[in-house]
Parts: sequence; structure tokens; C-alpha cells
Amino acid sequence: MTNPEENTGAAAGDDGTTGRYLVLLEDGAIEAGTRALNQIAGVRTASTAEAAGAEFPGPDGLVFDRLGVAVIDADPDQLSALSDAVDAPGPIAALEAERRVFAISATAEEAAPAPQVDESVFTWGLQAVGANKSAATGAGVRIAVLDTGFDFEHPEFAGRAVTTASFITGETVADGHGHGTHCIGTAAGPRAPGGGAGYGVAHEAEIFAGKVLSNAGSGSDGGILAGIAWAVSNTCQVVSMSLGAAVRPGTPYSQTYERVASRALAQGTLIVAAAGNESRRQEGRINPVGHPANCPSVLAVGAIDVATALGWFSCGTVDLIGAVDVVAPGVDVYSSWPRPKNHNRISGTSMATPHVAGVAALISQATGARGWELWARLHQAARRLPLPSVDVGAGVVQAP
Amino acid sequence: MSVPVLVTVDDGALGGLTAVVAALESAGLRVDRVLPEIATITGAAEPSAFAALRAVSGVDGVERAGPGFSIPHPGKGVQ
Repeated sequence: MTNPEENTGAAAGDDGTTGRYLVLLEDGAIEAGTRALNQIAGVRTASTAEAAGAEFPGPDGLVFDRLGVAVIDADPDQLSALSDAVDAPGPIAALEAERRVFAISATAEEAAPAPQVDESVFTWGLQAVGANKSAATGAGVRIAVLDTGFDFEHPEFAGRAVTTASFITGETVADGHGHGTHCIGTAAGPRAPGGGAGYGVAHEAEIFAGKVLSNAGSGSDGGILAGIAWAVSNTCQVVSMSLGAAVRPGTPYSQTYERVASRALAQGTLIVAAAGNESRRQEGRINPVGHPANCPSVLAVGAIDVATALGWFSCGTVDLIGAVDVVAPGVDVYSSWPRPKNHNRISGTSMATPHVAGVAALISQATGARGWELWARLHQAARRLPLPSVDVGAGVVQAP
Repeated sequence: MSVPVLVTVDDGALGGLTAVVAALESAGLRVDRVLPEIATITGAAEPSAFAALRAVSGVDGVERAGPGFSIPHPGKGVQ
């Protein structure tokens, strides 16, 4: 997976600093300050005015004349001398460690340090959707997860009701990728796995693991529709599809999937699907909800992070086709993974989708709702966010 | 060259699905799966046969299937 830190290309220290220092010079004292850096601490600096194009850091540092700031490398002795100079009258006004900065944050919230969430008992995702406080367990509700299959012998699923089917020619339902096992863990895994955080939203739901993506991670419309038909015939209340194909703005949604989703709803099966990961919000780029989540009758799920900011990759509503309906936790999500690794922490709207499927199962158990009524109750109960509806729809889904 | 095709069937024609499938085959569809639960038939056909498939009684819609789906390698990319 790619995570936001990796996206910045950072290899920062734990404290987010670079090892260099910023020296603030007094107004109108650039020359005097530059001399002082050399005299007091033996730090040689080049000026941006005279060293245009010079490799940074050429000497020990660089003075930004127009800003009145120098960026320097300094050893502890030099630092000590500069600290004394800050306290004394003179051209050196302040000294601070240089922080590692991110290219451009998608939102102000992302720039803030992520709040520390205690995951010793439950994942942050379970807490964000309120699953850990819900009396509902998903018992008696069937969730179909159409994905790369399932490691059904995973020790944390022992004794669970699991039905499997493979729609990939030549491959059993065994998960040779990991994605499917992770999604199933979030939707219906354990709340108390016996070590580590509880990660399953509907922890007593009946699991239907349909393999529609190969071990290499690819699938076709034919296999996916066969998986949906299998889920409908098994009267699953919820189908979770953490899959999709990117579309260009203005591309019509699939008439076939729309009819299929509408028919599934009429028979009491709600299909939730990942909105897609094609946005690059840190660059201001928002790409449309992919296929088949862009169908009006498929519930499209975007991703938020632990600070309730939008995932930088989360697709948005960019035209009249393909609305984001709700959002759920989809950044740094901890869940099950095929043995022997057993667990993994990954990001994507693929991880947000099974949170919604799990919450839908809890609501269905608590209220008896299914089909369109279940869709309505998911929207009704979602916690509204101070973010654009085109990105988050009705907000973060909430357990009953 | 034949391409993957998705065919949806009118709700009213579901009772006679077998006849619809037979008519689609005659009109050039190589049937892959018949999915009565969602009134859908998947298969493959020449693009030139699409008009004939649409003309089959009981057919609701005919659509070329998408190029497929893929998720990144488990160690790479946002999933």
C-alpha cells in the first residue's frame, strides 16, 4: 500500500524534523546576520542572491535574503553558540529546528498531527463508526464480500459460519492476494481476536466469500455479476464490493449494473462499492467515482482518515454521474490477512467499503431493514461532516 | 472478433428465460452464464450482432462488458 507519509517521499525522523536549522535574522540585518553566523558559530553560508542555482546545501547553509532566514547545518557546539546569540542583542533573532513539510495537503486537517487514537482494544475504524458501542453484532445477517477470496482457515475465524464460491476459472476461493481476507475481516471479523485490536464491524454476521478477483487481483464483469447473483440467491442482505474500474468524467454508468443493483435491492440485497482511489487531492485533482459504484443504485463509499479528513486518494462526485453516498474509515486500516502474516494495515476506498457493509449488517439486524430501507437507514444515521457533500455524501456511517 | 457482452432481460420475460436464451444464441450470443436472480445473461458476441440481440423479444438491454477490474499488488498502492 501507499500511505500518506510515503506519498511525501519523506524519510523524516520521528519528530518530523530534518536535522537542519532555521535561523531568523533581524529585519534589515541580513549582511550583519550572515557575518554573525560565521563569526559566532563558524557557519559558512551562501546567499540566494549570489548563489542562484547553487547546490543546496553547498556550504554549511543558505541565506534567503528576501526572507531574512538562513537554513543551516550545525553541530551541537555551533548550535549552542547560536542559542547564546539569540539571547544576546544582535542580528540573530531566533533559531528553530527545520520541520519536514508536505508537498501540499489536501485539507487543513491533514496538515495537523493525526490525533492519537487508542487501538489497543478496537481499531480506529470500529470506533469511528461506533461499532464498539453497538449492541448489534450482525447475528443472523448475511454479508457477501466479492473480492480475492478468503483465508477461511485463518485462526481468528475459527467456528464462524462461512460459505464460499469461486467465480475465477482455475482458482479456488483461497485468497492468494490478501485484499479479500482484509475486507472480510473489516466487515465481519472478530471484535476480540485474542491479541491485538478488534477489527470486525459485524462480528457475528454470516460470511459469504465470493472470489471474483484472481490471486493477481483482476476480474471481469461476468464474474462479478455471477457473484452478485450468488449473493442474491443466498438472500444476503449486503454485498460488499471493494473493486472498481476508473472512468473519465462524463462516462455514462453501466445500464446493466444499474438494473442488476436495482433488482438486487428489490429482492432485499444492498450492494455497496468502493468509490475509487484515483483522486490526488494533495495536487487538487479529484477524479470521478468509478464503475460500478457510479451506478445510482449502488451505494458508493469514499474514505476518511483518523482525523476525519478525506483520504487524499478518495474519488469524488465530479459531474452528474456517480455520487459519493457515504464515507467510512479507509486510511491505515488494520484487519486480517492470510496466514502466516495474519494481519495487515492498508489504505484505500476498498477498506472503507467493508466498514459500510458491516454497519449495514448491524442496522439490518437491529431493525430488520433490507434493500432500499436499509439504504435509507444508512443515510439517515450517518454522521454529517463539515466537508463537501460531493466528497462525503451523507457523512460517516454509524452503527445502531 | 467477439467481445464480452452483458444482456439484461425484462422482468416480464423471466418466466420464459430459457426461450430468451435460445433466441439470443440464435442471434449470435455465445452464452457464458445465465443469472436468473438478477435477470442477466453474460457471454460474448460480435459487435455486429448487437442489434440482433437487442431485437430479441424479452431483452431489456445489451451492453459491451468493461475491460475488467484490477487491484494493485498487495504490497503496492492504495487498495
